[in-house]
Amino acid sequence: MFDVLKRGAGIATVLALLCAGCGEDHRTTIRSPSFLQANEVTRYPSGSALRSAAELVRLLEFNDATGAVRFFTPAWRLSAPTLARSLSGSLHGLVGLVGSNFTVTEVHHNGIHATISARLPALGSVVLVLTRQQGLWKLSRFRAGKLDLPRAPRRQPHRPPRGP
Amino acid sequence: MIRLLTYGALLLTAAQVAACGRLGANYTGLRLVPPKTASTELEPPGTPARTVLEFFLALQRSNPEAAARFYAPTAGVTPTTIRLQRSAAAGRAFFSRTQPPRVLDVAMTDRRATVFTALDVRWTAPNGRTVVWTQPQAFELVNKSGGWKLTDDYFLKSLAAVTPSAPCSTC
Repeated sequence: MFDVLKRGAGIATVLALLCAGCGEDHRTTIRSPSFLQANEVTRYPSGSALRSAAELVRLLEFNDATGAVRFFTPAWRLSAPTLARSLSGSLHGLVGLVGSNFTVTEVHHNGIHATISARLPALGSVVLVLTRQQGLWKLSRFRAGKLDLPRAPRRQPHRPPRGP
Repeated sequence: MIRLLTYGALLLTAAQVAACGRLGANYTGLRLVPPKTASTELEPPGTPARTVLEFFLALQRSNPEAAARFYAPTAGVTPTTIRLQRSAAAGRAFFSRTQPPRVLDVAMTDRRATVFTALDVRWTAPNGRTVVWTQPQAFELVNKSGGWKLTDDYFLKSLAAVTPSAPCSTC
């Protein structure tokens, strides 16, 4: 009798274990590049350097070259088509990593310039220098480690004029 | 009698193991959820968000002539360019997988508007679990003679980058 019970219990255990792994699952798994929500941008005062920086990051995350290019100073010599190509190519994975993990560590204002120190998951510590131009804070410099953008234009080697 | 019960239980267990991977569904792995048709009535007429949904609907219906009318003349987009982008491999893959845009928010300044949307691709597993890939995508519009028009076609040009492949079903 004891043997029968023992065997029955063993079979019941096996069945219970199998049933536990076979349940229906109505969860939804979201897999996507993370991005800033609107309230993560509007929490900064309108017209502030931080607001502009957050708006720029969000526009880049949303693959919006036309909107984002307005936030770059002319020193970048960046056009919307060039930025659009980068967002579809080399920058595509990178901006998805920034997401909502845009942690500002320090903000320093000096007249029309504002320096924002931040931590980005993909790049670590970064420095964004924004300059106020035409009523808008625009990115004038971006530093991350050895990366310092925009790069100064290469000087053309001086060639003496040819004689007649 | 005991032996009969044991064999019966083992047979039941084997049947369960065989059925476990399917759970009644006639497929394994992840299955793509076909995209719905864009519901333009979700947004009020004459708004930038409505324009984006109507534009997407025209693309879903493979109607380049209708889609081209949503662009500002400065964008330089013609039905031919849309037809080429829509019928390219990236365009076909995108519109066969991606759900219509979910409008997250709209930023408006004077005559310009930015419509922030989420583009979802959905898969279901046999056990009912849903896997969603969300790609953020914004659309820039300008108000031209009373109507909202798209300012650029970077969205159509970037379809190859924004279309995900099926994710791993076990990771």
